[in-house]
Amino acid sequence: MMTLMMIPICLALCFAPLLRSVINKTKAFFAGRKGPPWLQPYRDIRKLLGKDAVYSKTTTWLFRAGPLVSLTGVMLALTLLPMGSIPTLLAFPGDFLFLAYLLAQGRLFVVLAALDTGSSFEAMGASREVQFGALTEPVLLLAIATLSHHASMFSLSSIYQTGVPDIWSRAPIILLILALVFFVVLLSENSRMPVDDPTTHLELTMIHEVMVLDHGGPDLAFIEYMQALKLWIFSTLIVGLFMPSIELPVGLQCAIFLAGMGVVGVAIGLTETMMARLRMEKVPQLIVGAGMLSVFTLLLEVF
Amino acid sequence: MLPGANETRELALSSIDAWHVPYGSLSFNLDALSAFFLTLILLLGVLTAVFGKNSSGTTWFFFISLMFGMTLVVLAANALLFLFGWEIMSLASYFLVTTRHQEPGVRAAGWTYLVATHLGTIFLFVMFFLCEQKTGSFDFHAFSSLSAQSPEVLAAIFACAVIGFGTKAGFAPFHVWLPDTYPETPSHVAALMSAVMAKIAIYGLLRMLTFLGEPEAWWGITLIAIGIMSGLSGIIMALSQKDLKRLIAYSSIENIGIITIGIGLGLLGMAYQATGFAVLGFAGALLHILNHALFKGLLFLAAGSVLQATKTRLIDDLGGLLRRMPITGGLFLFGSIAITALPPLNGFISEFLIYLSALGGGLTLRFPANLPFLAAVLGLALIGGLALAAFAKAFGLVFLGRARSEHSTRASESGIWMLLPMVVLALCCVAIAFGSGFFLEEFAPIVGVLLPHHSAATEMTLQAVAGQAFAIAMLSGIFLAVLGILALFRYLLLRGRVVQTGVTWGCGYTKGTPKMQYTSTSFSEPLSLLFSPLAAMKTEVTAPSGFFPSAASLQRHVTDTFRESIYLPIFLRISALFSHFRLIQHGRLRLYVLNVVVTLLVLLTWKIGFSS
Amino acid sequence: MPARMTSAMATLLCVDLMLISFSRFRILIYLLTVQGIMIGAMPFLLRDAPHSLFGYGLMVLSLGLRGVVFPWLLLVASRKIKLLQQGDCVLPHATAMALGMGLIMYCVWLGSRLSLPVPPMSSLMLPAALATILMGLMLIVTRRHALSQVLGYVVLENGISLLGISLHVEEEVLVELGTLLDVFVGVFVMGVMIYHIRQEFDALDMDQLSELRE
Repeated sequence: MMTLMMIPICLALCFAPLLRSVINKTKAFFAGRKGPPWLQPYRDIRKLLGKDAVYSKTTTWLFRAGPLVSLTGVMLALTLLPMGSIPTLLAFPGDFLFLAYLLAQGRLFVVLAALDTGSSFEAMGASREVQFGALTEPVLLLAIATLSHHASMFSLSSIYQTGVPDIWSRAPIILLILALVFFVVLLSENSRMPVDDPTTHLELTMIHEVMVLDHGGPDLAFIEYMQALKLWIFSTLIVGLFMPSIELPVGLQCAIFLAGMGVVGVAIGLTETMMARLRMEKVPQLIVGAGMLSVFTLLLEVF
Repeated sequence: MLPGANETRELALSSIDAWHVPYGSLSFNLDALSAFFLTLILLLGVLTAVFGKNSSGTTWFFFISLMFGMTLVVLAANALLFLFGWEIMSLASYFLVTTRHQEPGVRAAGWTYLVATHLGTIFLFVMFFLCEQKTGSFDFHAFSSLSAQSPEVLAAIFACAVIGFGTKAGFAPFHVWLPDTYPETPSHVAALMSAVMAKIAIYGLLRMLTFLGEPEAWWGITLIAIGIMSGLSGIIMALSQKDLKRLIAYSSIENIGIITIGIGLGLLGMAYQATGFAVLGFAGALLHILNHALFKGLLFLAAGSVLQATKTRLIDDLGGLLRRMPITGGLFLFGSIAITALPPLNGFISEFLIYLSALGGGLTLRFPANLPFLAAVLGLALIGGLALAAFAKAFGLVFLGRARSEHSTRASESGIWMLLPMVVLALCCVAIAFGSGFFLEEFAPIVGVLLPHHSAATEMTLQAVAGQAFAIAMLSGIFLAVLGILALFRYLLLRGRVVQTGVTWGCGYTKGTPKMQYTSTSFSEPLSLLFSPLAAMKTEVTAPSGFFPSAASLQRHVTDTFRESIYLPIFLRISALFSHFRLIQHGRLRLYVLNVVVTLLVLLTWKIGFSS
Repeated sequence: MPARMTSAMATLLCVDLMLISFSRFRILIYLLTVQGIMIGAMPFLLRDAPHSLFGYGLMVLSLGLRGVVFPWLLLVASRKIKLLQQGDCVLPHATAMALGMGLIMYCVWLGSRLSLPVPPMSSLMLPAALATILMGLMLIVTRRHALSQVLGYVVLENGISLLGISLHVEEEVLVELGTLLDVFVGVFVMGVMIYHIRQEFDALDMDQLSELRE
């Protein structure tokens, strides 16, 4: 049983960086390029782990603790995430609140580490990160609360394992709208294209990348890995909405799940190919719109 | 946590013999609810007293009076005694606010406080006299017959209680005195006022609610609405402050808002006969009262420690203090994590209970009855996200980065007597975070006072929640373990490697100075602008002019919308109205005597001539 | 069938929400097309087959007008006056969205209060119809440009016909056709008027017409 429960976590720990490769390959394909090799994210992390460290004179212990704490929070969030019909390691009513606040914990420490450098560039990124975070967190919670409302369930695993198939049979439109909401939250929380440009840290897009300007060596490796896991978590929330409800062997479930993750990766890549980054003041509109959509799905209960 | 929870029930029966005075009796009563608040008063009272052990004799006198007043309020079983204690509390705190009365800002803050608190007290007088009219007694045990009164009377009492107690607690829109007052008050007194005195007002509200019987749905909805408004406007304003203590003061309003949401959810659950959510709402509110007392006390004391070391409260003059005041800084970070309700600390657990209550109500009730519950979920989520931003700013700009002025380069760590109370408070926070699974069931008698006749359901719900608190504590434990393993991994990686230090990467610019760091206004500007109806941004520009412009300046600050657009016009109007009476305030003694003579003659004529 | 109907109604409500929150005219026209096609196709899904070929003809005509002709006319007109990329909402984005959300909540509440002689296929049907009507009105109120206001009228008409469908009005196709033709003529007249206003004033900001008052 325990080994079975560990499967989703191990999948996440092993394949999370690969999801980034899927996105990069998709973007490269549409740009007519070959793109970096599939294993490039792993190589980057290995290279960074092997490096020496340089710290700014301004920084304190907090700068060194930041990546560790945020990585811990994100790793712990994995234990609450359901995958198909495999039981999660831990489930209790309201565990999604814990998940959301763990991610917030991670955000706080990345932001504090950025402020610790005393650089105004990084503080600008930090300021924007807390701004968008303050907006996406309610939307994420609202979307999961909507899901829990329609499923009449309180914990993530029961919502996804018994609630979601039930909603499919009653009103699939709810799940489609919520998938869209989760997707917007994913783009915003993981600093993807219409919100932030993951490939630059220029002034125009100073959000996530600029916050980690001063990190290097193992610290940067932790941050990179944390980002990959975070992307994995949000993608899992989307893929879970579309997992088949019938009892399947574990191997097949994993295969379907990974295929679903691949589809999400392609979708992110497509979005990044087609869309330009929004102007900063337009981003809240996007997030608030997603929030409105999830409030709207709350209303669709009259049956 | 509450060792005497069971004994207090027996104590309640054997209350001390009443001492009869005109219009009432000085009777006392101690039940679980009083005991809970008494714990807060005594714990925080002692700790803040240790922090302020160097204060003058006058301060000590009023500090003790404040403690006495609060204790009296909590123990009173008679409306007159309650008001007596309330007045002592208000006056003592007024004198504490004006400790440094030589400064005009302090005098203004004291004046605002005195006016606000007495305006609130008027509503309490009206409320208690209304109760006396209907029951024929000022005694609290006679008040329990109030529930048989007509809905209009109950509504009037409820409204008076919300306004009267809400003014003291800091409900928006009655909160405007609070952010002016707390920053000017000595830090340990501000800690006591914010952590405990505001809660005494909540106690008054809860106590009145126990007399009013089955609540109506709109009471709960009103409290939830007030809670969301207080929470949101409080945290937005906190985010936009430049003054560290003011920021923390505004965050008190936010937390009072969260507590109010919990109480509102409890009332709504009672009105809809959903005992489970009522219990969760009340228990969450009570636990948040305790939690807030602990971490707000901690934060105010830490801010006091910073103020004492740097002699400034302005965030833009601070920075880099974590190096110079490592213990204060660590404790402030600790308090910030707790107050933003992040796991693994205690703030999360109480907000979790309130969330569960709101989610449960939203999940089981039908539209539109579930709207207030869902609004509470949304409100709490928004407040949570913004609180993170506010405290990232408070900690990040004050303690991290480089020192922005001489104030913080000169700073050094405070003494042991200042640090000790903070450490104790932090330890209490840890105890609640990891031990709440053990003592949540002990809340049953306290919730039982608010929610009588449902003791079985109360205990069942609390037991279930205690199970979840265990799960959370376990996850928090795993969190620390994983963190430890990762830290070890990092240590092993870096062992034997070259670890250098250099300057912060300035994107190619090498002449960066501390003054170029992000300021408090620039950090919070995007969010302030986004929520601009709640926090109006004022810009004062002196544009450069002429061919050789010399002086130019740009100042931005955020003003409290309630203060600027509601109270200021009203009070200006009142002051304009009363300025007409200055005519008789001319300063000539002869005419004053004439006034007295005329008044006496008129009264005499009226008494003799018209009373046959 | 009810689940599918509910999904369709939910989509219509979604379209309503988007109509009030987006300001670009091109998106509004796309949304109007989706709405028109869905509402035009509704009678085919709902009813037993009409008794006559004439009935079928009317339904096809209604679908054609709503789903193709109106959006196309608006598209042509807006292209001519280069409105496609502009927005003209008088409200800030978030306010408009919140307003739309509030209206939808109100309609859902209203729909749960009204009791109909014949219960509709889905409990969301009535709210969707009411919301579409209100959204049409709000579009007229919150937009500056004459063409947006015409679009508001078309949305309003879509809502009325959806209301007719959900109320099971006898001979509803005829009633609907009446309103449809009214709107058609209205749009036509508006089109001519807009053309002339533009010729005269070189601007279509309806707020500026207030200068014509005495």
